[in-house]
Amino acid sequence: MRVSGIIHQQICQLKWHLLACLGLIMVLPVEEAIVNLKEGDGFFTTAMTSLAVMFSPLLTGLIACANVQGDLNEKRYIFWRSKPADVKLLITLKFFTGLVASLLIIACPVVFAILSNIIWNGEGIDIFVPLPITIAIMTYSLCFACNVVVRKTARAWLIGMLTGCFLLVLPFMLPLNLRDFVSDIMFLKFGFYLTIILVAPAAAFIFALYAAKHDWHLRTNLKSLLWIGAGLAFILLMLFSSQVANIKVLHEKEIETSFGRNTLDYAGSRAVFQGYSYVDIDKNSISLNNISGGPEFGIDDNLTSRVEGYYVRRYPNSGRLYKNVGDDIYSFAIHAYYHTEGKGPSLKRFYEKVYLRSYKHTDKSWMPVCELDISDCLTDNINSIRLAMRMIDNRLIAIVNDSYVVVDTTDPGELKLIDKKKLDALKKYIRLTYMDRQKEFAIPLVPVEEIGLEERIKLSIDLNYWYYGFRNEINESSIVDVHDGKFSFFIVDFDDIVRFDVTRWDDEKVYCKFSTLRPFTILESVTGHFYDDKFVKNGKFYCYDDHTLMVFDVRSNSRIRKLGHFVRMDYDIEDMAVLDDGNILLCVRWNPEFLTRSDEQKKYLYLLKNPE
Amino acid sequence: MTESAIKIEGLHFSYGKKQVLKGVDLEVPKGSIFGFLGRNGTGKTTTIKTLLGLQKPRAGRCIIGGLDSFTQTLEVRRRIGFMAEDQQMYGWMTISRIIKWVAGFYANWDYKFADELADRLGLPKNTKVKALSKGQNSSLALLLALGHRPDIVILDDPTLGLDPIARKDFLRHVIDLLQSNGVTVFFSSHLLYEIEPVADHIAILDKGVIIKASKTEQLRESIRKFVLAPKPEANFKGLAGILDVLKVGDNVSITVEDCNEEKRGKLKGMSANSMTEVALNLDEIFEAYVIGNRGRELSV
Repeated sequence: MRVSGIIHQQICQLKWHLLACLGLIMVLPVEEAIVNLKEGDGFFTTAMTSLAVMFSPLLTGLIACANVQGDLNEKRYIFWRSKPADVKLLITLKFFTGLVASLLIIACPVVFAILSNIIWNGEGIDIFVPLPITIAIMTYSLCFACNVVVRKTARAWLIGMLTGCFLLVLPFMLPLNLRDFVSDIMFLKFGFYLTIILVAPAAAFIFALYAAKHDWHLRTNLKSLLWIGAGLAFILLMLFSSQVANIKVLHEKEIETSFGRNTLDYAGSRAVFQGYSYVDIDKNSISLNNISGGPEFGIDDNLTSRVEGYYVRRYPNSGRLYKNVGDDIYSFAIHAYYHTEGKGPSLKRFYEKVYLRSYKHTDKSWMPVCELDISDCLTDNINSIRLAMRMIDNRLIAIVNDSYVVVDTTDPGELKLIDKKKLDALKKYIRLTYMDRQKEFAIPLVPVEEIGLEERIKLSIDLNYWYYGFRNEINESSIVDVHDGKFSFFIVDFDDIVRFDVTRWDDEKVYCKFSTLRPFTILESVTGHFYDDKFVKNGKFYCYDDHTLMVFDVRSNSRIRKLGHFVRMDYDIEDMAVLDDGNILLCVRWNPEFLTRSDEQKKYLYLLKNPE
Repeated sequence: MTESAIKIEGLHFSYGKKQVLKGVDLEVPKGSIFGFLGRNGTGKTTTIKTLLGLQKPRAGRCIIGGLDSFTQTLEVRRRIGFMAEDQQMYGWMTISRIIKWVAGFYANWDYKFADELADRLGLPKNTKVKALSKGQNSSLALLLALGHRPDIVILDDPTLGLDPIARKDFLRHVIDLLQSNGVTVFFSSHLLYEIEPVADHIAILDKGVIIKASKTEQLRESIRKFVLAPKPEANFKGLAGILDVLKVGDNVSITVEDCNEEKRGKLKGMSANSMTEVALNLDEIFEAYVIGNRGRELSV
């Protein structure tokens, strides 16, 4: 049997299919390059190449079906089988010719992306291709084998894809404790996964050889095709749900609607809702208990300005900083008073007074019990003010612009000023960019002598990152994890979650270096965008935006592993708290786009199971 | 004893629960043109597929040119030429390309002979297969079956779908090409007039078994139809070898196999007056074997 003749025949047989697939896989990268060129950036492609490569398993399946379909028509099958053809060799040649052609087609957008970036940007780009390519090899082999048996292109493609999907989902269905496709598969179990992906094609190939040799023919009909379609949809939904919303809801409690953002805070080990109710959990059931029969609406009512023409800005902006002393409960806040001049774009705010206040909860309401005037912290008093606060043991550290004060809160009814300093270090902050992943960088170490070094480092990192953030909640959380004496912190970027490690520190600076990242999957990118709220607690990193909460295990030094994902598309997540047992309290507002009146909104407290 | 080119012994084959071949026994003499007759769906193609080793029988064996079809499949296929019914080839290939492609399977492909065949069959070499007429398509299939000069050629209903002129043309080529070379031809068809002029041996397959196999001339000689007006006391049931009995008015038409003087005498004795003896063509013989009532409805 002449091998070259078979290969030539195969290429000729496939040429139009190959060209069609090439067109399909190149359309997005080329379109992106054209758009870039029109915008004056140059003729290059980046993101669309990855997308095109991601879709390559679908195309290789088509090529696989086309590869043998031409030979398996019953009458044509008799034609070549009646010749002295070594079926195994013939099928092997066809299989590998198609496979190599498929891989070359997948390589085209990658090569185009690399070359176009070298030419226009001076350097190539990293495109993650190993996994899509191995999956493409798997789908190719499965579809090839299916078509040898089924002998109908569309049906074989569907069955092949169904089998492929099943194999991809299978590890998540086995008791392997796999949760996170990216972390578990790519970093932890990639070898295992790769084994499945490579064993499946090998098995499919051997099966195809025997099926062709022994003329195995599975007759399908429309009904079975519909079953296959339903099966495919079911498996895809399983994969989708396992990757998107896998944190179990233990209890859901509708709560009374009120204006403003709902808050969940900590008072000792208990969660406080809206400043007036403890959230108690009994047998996975939520109950709200008013704090000592206190006021119905927390301390918001106390925030109206007492001087006409003046306005007040409070820190924490939402939520509270609480402290329990015996049976009493206190809260702390910074109030900054300002008046305004001008209107519209030329409006200016003039900050004049800043107070640190403590409140004690009485039977009726929150009563101010002590006030410290820290207005001398104001320097540049026009327009902007930066506030932050954190309680460390009995020390309350309050930041106002470039100054900090340390206050003893042993008796919250009598706040004692311990230290007050203005620091150039607080003026500086580092806005972390992609460039910071390439080299070591330094963050100013806040020289608050009254707290331990560990807390200083944590505060410095949190201040640096949070200082200018809109949702500055360092009063209740931190992005820093301390594990085995090592500090690391986490930020959420557009495409990934990034871990930075503290490598060293001296009297003035904390030195940090990029450690690892965990890219978002397409599904994650679809459901969430701007994770403004994020913190670390007990080795887990929590981040959420309006609709999505994600929880990651960050205890390992080498990887960030997703533990769970919770999505409610018509809901806004307003606040959350992590309980001592790891269960999560979530405060959400049902606010679909079709609602026109705010009183139609509904609010819920969710108790979510600890994702492990 | 004549040497066999093809020998089939006790061949059984089933598609699932449907038993198609129920013990086919057949011997094709070397150098003969063997007509394999049967109605559509009686198992002709199944027999041939099994013969070629394309499917495994439930029982029995096939020997082609002294080789076992199932254990020496590749060698068998090297030595035979096969043309399937309504054969489909790769439409996008040109004739020269497909000749080259098929030649790749044979170490002994005779390119010169193939070229000659192409010329004789009037095949335009640079034309794509999909552009060929049905007749040309059959000619090409024949060329591809003969290009390696096989000893045994198996043709499975080769003229299926051809118009009468193309069919005759094709058969003329087959006879021209094969008869003179001493090649054994196993020719399956349900069109009897197609086989009659060329086949020197005949086998009739019906419902999965061979109901008659013999030399064509012998078959013609041994089958006779008698038309007679039976006496009232005439009893045909005692007569062996009745294939078909038909009552036409007062007369009865009886088709008898293995006809000899004894049978003629018996029939004459049952006739009230003169009896007419008619020689049958292959078509009529086939009909008598396949749909003849075997005297079961005899009520004379």
